[in-house]
Amino acid sequence: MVKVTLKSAEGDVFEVDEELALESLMVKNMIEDVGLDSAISLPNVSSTILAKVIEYIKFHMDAQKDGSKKTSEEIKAFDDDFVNVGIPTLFEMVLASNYLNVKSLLSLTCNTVANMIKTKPPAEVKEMFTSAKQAKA
Amino acid sequence: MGRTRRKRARDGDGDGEDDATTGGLDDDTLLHIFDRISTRELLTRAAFVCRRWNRLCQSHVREIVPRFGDFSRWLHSSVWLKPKDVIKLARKHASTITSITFPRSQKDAEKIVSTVSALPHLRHLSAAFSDDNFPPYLAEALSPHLQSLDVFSRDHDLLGASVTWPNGGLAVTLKSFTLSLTTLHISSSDFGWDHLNDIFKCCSNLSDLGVVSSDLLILDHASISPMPPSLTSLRLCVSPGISVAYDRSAPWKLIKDSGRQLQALYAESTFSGTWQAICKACTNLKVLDLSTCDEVVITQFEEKTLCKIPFALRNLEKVCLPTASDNILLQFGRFCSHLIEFELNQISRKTGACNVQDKGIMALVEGCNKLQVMSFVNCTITNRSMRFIAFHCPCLRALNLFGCKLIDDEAVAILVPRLSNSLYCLNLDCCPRISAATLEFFRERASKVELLVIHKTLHNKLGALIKCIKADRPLLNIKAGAVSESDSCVPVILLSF
Repeated sequence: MVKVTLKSAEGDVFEVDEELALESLMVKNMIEDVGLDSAISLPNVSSTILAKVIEYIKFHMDAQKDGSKKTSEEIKAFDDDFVNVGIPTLFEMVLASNYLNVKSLLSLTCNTVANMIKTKPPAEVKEMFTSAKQAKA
Repeated sequence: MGRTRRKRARDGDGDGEDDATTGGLDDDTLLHIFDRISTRELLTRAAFVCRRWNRLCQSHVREIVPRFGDFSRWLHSSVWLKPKDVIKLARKHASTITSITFPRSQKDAEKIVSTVSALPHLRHLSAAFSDDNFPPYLAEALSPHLQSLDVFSRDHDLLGASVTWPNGGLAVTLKSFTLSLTTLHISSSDFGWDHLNDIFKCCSNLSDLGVVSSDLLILDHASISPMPPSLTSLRLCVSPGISVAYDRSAPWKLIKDSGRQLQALYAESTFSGTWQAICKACTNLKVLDLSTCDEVVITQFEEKTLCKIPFALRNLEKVCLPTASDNILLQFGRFCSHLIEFELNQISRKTGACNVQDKGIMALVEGCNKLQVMSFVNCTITNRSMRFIAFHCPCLRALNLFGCKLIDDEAVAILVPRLSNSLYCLNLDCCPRISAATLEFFRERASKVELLVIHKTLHNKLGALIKCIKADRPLLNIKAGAVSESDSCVPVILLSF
């Protein structure tokens, strides 16, 4: 299996299967442009977030494979658990999935944020977003 | 565009959005999130967060839904936008609109077709036409990406009126988007089991089907194709508010073979045979609507059948019953702990009040503490029930107490403080003991209630007070109920979830 090397913002190196890396349309374009020889650097994605994104793609690829015994409830449970993180992390994942162009993850994270906005009054939404920014800075 | 804006907002070059609420997200990403929020919520909530969000929301209206939240069905149609306004909005946002709902539109059929034909990204269309003006060119006007088509409405304005599909129109209409179609709701005077077979065969991605047609009464058709495996929601009616009898030939075969895949079934019926058939065949139901506009006289036999439903269908999350008694509620409390919505919308002047009392309510809420929406129309319940509800249902969002004659102002004082974090909609229409004290209560106390429905007479009498409250509590809408006391007709509360 061909491996792809991804480099996070901190310079940490992640080696993943090519099949997995191609789930990100952005990485796919990069591979098509520059080939597999050098590491693909992702300056907008931190190591922790990149690790989470890889975990997500890996789980869903395994779940889709033939012979996988995962039920849709299990997948949903994984998804729910996956986005059950602090708001700053959640926002970073939204940004990362948008940047890496991973459609399924983008829709999962955006839906989560949208549901938060829908159920909260404006003042609380504002507070939520402001605190996320401060935590990041 | 996203990245440049983000930089500007951060550098603070004075574009008025320096303190923008971003959480570190750029416009691009925010729009991805806004995509998943309805217009009503965008314009009433998100737009007030800050100036940047306001700009984004205003410029990004994608859906036009002329309704008030989820609870439009409890309201008079006057709160809807007029068809004229919908068309105006649709023209303004033609390039981005993906979903559109036309309210009653008896006269504007031609205009609707011309409006719809100008929307290249339309995915969801919902419109109602009367018998004589169904536009023959509707099919050609629709975008090939259409996913959901609703040309009858479940709303009460349409009871009695049916949409005539022009001859051969169905096949032609469906041919161009059978694969993309996931939701189909139609009403026609000549749509028989043959047509239903055609739909089952060609729409392989269909998940939600609703048909109202008098031809479904003709049951001598022996062969019925199996449902497409994606189908999870079904509604087959012979006329609005009366479903096919699921215990007879073709309908019984249909649910016997593939009833297990159904998650939602709308079967407005007074026949206990149908109820029994559903209990046997559709064991995975999450949504069950048995409400009906017919009179239901409950006998011991009917009570026994309804009592078996909760035991057979333990996964139920939303249920609407034609009638109930304390025993039936007791069974629901025992077995259906996942219930989120429970509705009892039977309005009947002939049989009088519904035979549900405090004992039944107590049993129900003790067992189902996830309830979010409850409706007890014309029940003889008192403030004691309100105590049980306030204590056991911390997530309650909407409560309909239409016609509960024994409820008085104290009920509000019990409910609202306890449920201050969740209660959003309260219907106190036709509760004669509700007085100005209730409104005073809402004036003095901040709450999350955004929609309060009171009787028309009371609303007229207290106009000045309501204006004051409006000034103090801008988020609270106080609406007048649909009927006045002199009305002799029975108001129909909508029969769908």
